[in-house]
Amino acid sequence: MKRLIAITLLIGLMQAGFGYSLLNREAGDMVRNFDARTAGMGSASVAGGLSLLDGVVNPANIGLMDAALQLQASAYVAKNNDDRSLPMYNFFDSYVGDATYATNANFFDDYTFALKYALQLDDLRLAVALSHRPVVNFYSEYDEQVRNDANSNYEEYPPIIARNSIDGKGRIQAGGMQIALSYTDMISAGIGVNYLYGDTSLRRRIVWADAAYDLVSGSTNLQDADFSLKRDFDAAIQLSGGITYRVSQRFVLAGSYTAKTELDATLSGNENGVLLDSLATASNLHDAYDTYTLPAEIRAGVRYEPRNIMRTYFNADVRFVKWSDVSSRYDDVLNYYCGVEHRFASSLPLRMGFMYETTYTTVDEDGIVYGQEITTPGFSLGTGFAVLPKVTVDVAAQFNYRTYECLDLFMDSFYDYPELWNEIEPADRGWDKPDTVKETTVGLTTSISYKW
Amino acid sequence: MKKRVFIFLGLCMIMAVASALIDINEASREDLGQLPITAQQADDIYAYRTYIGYFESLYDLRNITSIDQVTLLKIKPLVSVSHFTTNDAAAERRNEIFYLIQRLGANEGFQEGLSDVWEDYLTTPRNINYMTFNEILNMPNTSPLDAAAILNRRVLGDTLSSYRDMRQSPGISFYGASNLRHYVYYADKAQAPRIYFDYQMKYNTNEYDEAAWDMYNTSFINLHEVESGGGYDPNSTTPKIKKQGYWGYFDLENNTPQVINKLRMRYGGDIKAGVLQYTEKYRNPLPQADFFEDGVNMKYFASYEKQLDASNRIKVIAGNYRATFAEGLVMENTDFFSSRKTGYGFSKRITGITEDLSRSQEYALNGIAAQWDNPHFNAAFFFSHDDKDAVVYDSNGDGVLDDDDDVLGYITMTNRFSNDDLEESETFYNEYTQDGFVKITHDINIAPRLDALEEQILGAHLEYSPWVGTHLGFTGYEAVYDRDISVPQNDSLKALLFMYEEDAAEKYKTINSEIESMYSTKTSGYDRDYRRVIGFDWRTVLNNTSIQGEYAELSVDGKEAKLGDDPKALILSSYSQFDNLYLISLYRDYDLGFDNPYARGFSEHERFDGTALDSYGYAMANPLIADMAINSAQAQAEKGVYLEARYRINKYLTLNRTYLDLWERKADSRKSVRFQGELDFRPIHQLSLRAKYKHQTNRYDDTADRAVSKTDETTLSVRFFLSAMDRISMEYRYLTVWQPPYPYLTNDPDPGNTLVAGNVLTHGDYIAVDYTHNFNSNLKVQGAFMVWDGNGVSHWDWEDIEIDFMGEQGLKYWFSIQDKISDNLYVTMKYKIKQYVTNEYEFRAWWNEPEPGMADYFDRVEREDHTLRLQLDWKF
Repeated sequence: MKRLIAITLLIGLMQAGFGYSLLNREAGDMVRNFDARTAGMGSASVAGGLSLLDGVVNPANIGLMDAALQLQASAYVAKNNDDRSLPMYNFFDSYVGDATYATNANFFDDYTFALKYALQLDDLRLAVALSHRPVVNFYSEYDEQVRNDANSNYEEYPPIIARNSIDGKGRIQAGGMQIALSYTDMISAGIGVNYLYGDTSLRRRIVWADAAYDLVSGSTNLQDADFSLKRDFDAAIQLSGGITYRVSQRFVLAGSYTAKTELDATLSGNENGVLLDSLATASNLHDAYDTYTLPAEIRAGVRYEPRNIMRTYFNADVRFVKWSDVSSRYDDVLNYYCGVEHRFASSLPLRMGFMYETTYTTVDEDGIVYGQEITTPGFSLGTGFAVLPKVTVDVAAQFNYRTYECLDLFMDSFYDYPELWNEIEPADRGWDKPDTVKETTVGLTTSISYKW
Repeated sequence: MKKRVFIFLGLCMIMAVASALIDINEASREDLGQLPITAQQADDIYAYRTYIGYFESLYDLRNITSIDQVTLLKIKPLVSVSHFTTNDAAAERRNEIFYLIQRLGANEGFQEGLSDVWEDYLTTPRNINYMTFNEILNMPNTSPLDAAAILNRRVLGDTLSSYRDMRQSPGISFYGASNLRHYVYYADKAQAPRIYFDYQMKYNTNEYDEAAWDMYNTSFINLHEVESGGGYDPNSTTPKIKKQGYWGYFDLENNTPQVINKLRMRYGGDIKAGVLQYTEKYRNPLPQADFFEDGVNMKYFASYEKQLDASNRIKVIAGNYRATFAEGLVMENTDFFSSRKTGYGFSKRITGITEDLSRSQEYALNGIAAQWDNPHFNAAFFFSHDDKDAVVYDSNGDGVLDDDDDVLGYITMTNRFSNDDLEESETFYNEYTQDGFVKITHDINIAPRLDALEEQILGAHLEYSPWVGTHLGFTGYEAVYDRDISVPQNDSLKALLFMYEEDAAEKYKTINSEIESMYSTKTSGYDRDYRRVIGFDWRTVLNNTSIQGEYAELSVDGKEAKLGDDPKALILSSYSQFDNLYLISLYRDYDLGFDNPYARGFSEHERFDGTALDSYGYAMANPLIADMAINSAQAQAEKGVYLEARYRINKYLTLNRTYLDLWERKADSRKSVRFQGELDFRPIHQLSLRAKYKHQTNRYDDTADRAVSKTDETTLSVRFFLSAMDRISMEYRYLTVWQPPYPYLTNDPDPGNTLVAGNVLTHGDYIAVDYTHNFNSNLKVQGAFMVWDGNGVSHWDWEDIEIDFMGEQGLKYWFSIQDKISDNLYVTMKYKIKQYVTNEYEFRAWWNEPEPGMADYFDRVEREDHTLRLQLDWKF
């Protein structure tokens, strides 16, 4: 009992703040991992069947789990580091690197739950699972200080004249049911029906500081900018299906399909002041707000269980994402995931994974709008242990990083009041002098599983 | 009769009991269920056998967590354990040689593409009684003396029957024999022909090295205001945009990885085929990119080889092949330079014709090649037809770069941007306008182009060996081109290479005669469409010494049939081998005009090292041509003597590879000396203490010259060899560089001005710790941490399987996991974080007045690089 309390506390302590990738503050981040085993395996799970939440990726997987009753709950905490820098030029006016002007570290969390019951009918097994999980996450948080150029040559701190912030909230969640029918643990087919619902809000603000009012001393009427947009999504049904086939003792092949899903949105919000921002990804494309599209996906993978001096599982997935469903500016992409699990003599697992994903942002350059590909590589490590005969806890850490260019989030001409500056005349930076963003995410996933 | 009946009944009972025993190596899950154990225990036994390994004895059952001693004793009388092994001979062989394959992979960086050849030999060894001298010599760590020792046995009529037998061969070294044994077998054995597949994927988000980074960051449309009034507009404002260099133009900082996919197939040891696809960092990896996109690197081959009889062997390769002969003066086609390539140890050459799936692209040969090996004769013929990347310049002065223009020379591009991309970028730079910006240079008139030069090569190598260990050889090739190669001379070349006239005047030095001396197909003396190189090589083995050499000539304006009247190159070397000592001495002398793009002979430096292409890449008319120096693979014109030795003094003390090189750089007669020595003290097997010292002086003969520089480097390291092959090592290095004050960086020494000199003495050090842990024979984890301070000098670090160069100061940490997932699947993953600062040379130039409060003689740029590498090998 003490152990159970400790585990509950462990998961509870992970409830930290909020925050995720600013890149996808409007488009949202598709949630990739639902449980710690999959996270440790680099998100390779379509040919799963070892973790209940694999059923979310491929409903057929639950048909291959022999336990009658299973429960699984997962908690996910991520720390997102977003370093934003602007280009530096040297004596010869050559670009030499980037100077970081804003760095944000935020935490984000999510929870997933699944319950399964299986009925054995001779060689047939009918399994039904219920799950609740996040599908898309809109959380993001950003804080930037705008300081004037007084005393900046002498390593003193110039006064803050404005604070810029972005505050994104909300998620699309799914309450789902997966049903699978398997035959002699050899082949399983399943379908998933997910009820999608949720909302999101995004607030962007520029708030002048007292120092700015002091500097203009009434000569200019400084006005804060405060824009917020709320999207209430109408519920929608997402369908998925999959097949898992055990070819031999060593190989399991699987494939799954998730249909394109569209959620209509009701917009509300307010606009105060004039906000010069570059949140252009969807601002330019207003119709993108009316409907939110989750692209269709096809995922295929293999599980390989070789003979090894340690019990070993190797999973590899290829995920085809039809990004062209979302925007004609995007190409469809292939993402790759692979992972290996070794179980040492003490049954202690060690998991290692690798992932490579391509996502998009919409870019407006010189009047031409196109999709810019952003690649995100990452790796993961994980382990687990049994706390009670039927209860196991798994833990995994995932690390992702990426570098990409984007426009200044808050364009500088907003601050172009001569009284505020000594020498600088703030002007907008366009795509000839973009921001470079280096982003790292460290995620910790903890799952607790019960089998009966 | 009764007795017989009893015996019969007894036998029946024994058989009945025996048949009742359940063989745990063969029993089905249902059979195991009949034992007095729980279903879970039966499942565990079945799973252990299926997924861990077969039982070698009954007591292996105790390895299963759920089987306790009581259970074991209970089922002991009821079960049997049959001897059981897998029948996959190839997998067994891979297990045997797993550590050797890992070692080959670790050295892949040095021996680009060679590890494939050796790995094939490891997997399907050759009969040593049929191998020729060159074939034995082509194996790793074998010397000519080892090869001669084995062949001398065969000449006497012996047949080598075992490793012990081979080891008894008079003159063979311990290292040679112990390495060779993995690659050979001794008696004829019927090998069931089978198909082998090797698939390899390498994924790497590695950063560009410093030289390439500088090249891509060089501003193309800059204009620094100079008060000399030499045609510059002082009111012009240089635009500050990221796109002013290729780095920003092509957005080279995103995490697009470098991906290599390689698939090789073999049928036995005779029929082979393979394909390689290599995606550079800035491209999308396949299959998301266009397979046939301009500049996508593809290589492929199909080959057939056959041992005709005990003496004759033939080989034919179609597609990409590698041709290397003798000392590499005439032909060794790789894109990768290796300094001090003696041909021994780690700098081994595989001579002859071999299939090629290396990353070499520019100097890849593509066509058909054939080779015949015989104890007395060796002949190879090769034909290649391939388009080469080249630097093209506006030779006809019509203002455009097109097919009518001449080629300056070959270039190995760091990124093979497509010609369309290059042309679009040049148009962008040529047409760039901005308020206040006045362009002061002409349009871009020199640039690299993909596949700009069609090259058709026909070559041959013939060798006659009158007796074991001695041969005379001839190598020659002729490359025919579809367009002219011409190198402007003197002022024309200066004007072509540099963006600004002032730079051309200040920065063009004697060393650049190396650029002027590049080969032209048309000069005032001749007009042709080819380049022709011939060479002679020889070797003889006398007792414990092998003497060899090669002489090569490039046809320029001498008489065709006369030797010595054209630019030439010569290598003479000897190798002596004792029980605890080897000694290499080597003399080389390459003419400046010997511009053979396929020459990879011994040299300290690669061609164009120290020239304007190398030192003043930022001042070039087009920064991209700096790649001619950055990725040069050709040996620089040098003349000098090199001595190398390794001496195992006693059980505890070894003088590791130690060398002395005295040489002269031909282009500017710079004389240099370099020495390196390492002493390894191993008082006990588990502990190794090493001290290494390195020294180099450039221009040692001219102390009055301000170009003298001296480098000293001392390294102390401790290595602990722990149990289970675990290892921990610590290393400290200290180095100094002395150089004369750099007048370019000094202020105008007027009264009132401060003299700011470049450093006369710079020093740097680093400290590193490295730990390797083997969980078991299939899973290895390695991690390292290092912190360094360069202060103007740079360090290099040999990581797990790659070299890292580090300038200025910083720290890095990395870990790698090497995992053998099964007998045929291997995965390696490495992750590295490197945080460092780079000094951007913001030294105030002499023409700038110092300003009060201006302290930014240089700015520091902080960088953090993340590198993720994944390698997957699948062999089946």
